[in-house]
Amino acid sequence: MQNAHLRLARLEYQRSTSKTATSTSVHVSHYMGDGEEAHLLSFFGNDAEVAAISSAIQENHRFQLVYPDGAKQRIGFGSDPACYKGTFGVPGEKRSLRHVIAVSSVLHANGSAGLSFILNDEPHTQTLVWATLATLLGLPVVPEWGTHMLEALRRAKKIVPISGIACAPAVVQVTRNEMLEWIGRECAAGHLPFPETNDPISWPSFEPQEALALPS
Amino acid sequence: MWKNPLPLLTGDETPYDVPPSPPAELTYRGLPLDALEDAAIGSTAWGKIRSFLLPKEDVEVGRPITPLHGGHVGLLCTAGLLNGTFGRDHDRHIARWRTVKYVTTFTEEMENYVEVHKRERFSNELALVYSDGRTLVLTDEKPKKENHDAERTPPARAA
Repeated sequence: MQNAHLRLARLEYQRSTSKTATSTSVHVSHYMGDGEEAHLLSFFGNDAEVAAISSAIQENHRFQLVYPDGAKQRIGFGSDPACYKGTFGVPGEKRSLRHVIAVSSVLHANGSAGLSFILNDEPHTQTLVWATLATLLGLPVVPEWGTHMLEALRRAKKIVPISGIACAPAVVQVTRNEMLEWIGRECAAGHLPFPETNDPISWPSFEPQEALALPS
Repeated sequence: MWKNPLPLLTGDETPYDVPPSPPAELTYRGLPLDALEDAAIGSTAWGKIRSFLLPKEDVEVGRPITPLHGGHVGLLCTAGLLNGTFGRDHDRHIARWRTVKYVTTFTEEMENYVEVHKRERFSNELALVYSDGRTLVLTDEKPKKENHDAERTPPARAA
């Protein structure tokens, strides 16, 4: 896609000692966060830059996130963040770039404690939202119930959007028991049509590229 | 140090024409961000976090080579490969299995320090939704019965 510089953010990190001051910044392709609490950060850069930022994340330091529109936000990952590493090649060059996805401990325990993080809550990704919720909470549901239940969750203000870059993340604030009770009530009221035949329930699978697809 | 002052301009000097030059070419020598943005989504790091961020549903549909015995069915169920709709009449239900990790933390106080122990175990849960709206979660533990007598005032002390 063209004009990536309009969509990529920057993560700036400054470390000062008594004698030196070091400033490092990397490109951020995706981000999920709630205020100053970062939950997911996908960034890339050269070896030294990525190593510096990864170490600072592990040491629980704080960073300056510069959004594509220029807005700035101080962010941190809290305790016990995890960094998942990858590489990809630069077109036309022999060297490769380091890619890291940093994840907070809250997102690592996604679906527990009544918090389920959704990667991309857009009108064209409602199937993804319902499938993610069903997987994280282990709900005995079918894909066809998604429209009704997600509307009910939105009416009850259980789906709260959070800050995101190149995605539209949201948090579903509901526990598994609450959802089961809710589904039971809706089933009893006849709002959720039960499958007519006894069959396996097949869900669509999602790759990261599909889940993060921007609306056309 | 240069001490001669610059001559003052009167306006009668011979003009000097600036020679024409070709238009400046702007060359971007930074990272090819358009290509890197696409490559970032295809990074292997996304595959490592998809287990707790994206839905993953495994359902096996097909006819087994040999008839399944109880052990086979149990393994398939606990692996979440037999999720679906079962039963008939009032007992029609949707079943869904999942593996749950339990962490039990307990402390042991010693003379000068406290030992914190964490015991991890994995178990399986089965969640059911019946067509009439009943819901049920079956775990490896027996459901705790509420003991109402414990809250009841003993007859001898009842006023």
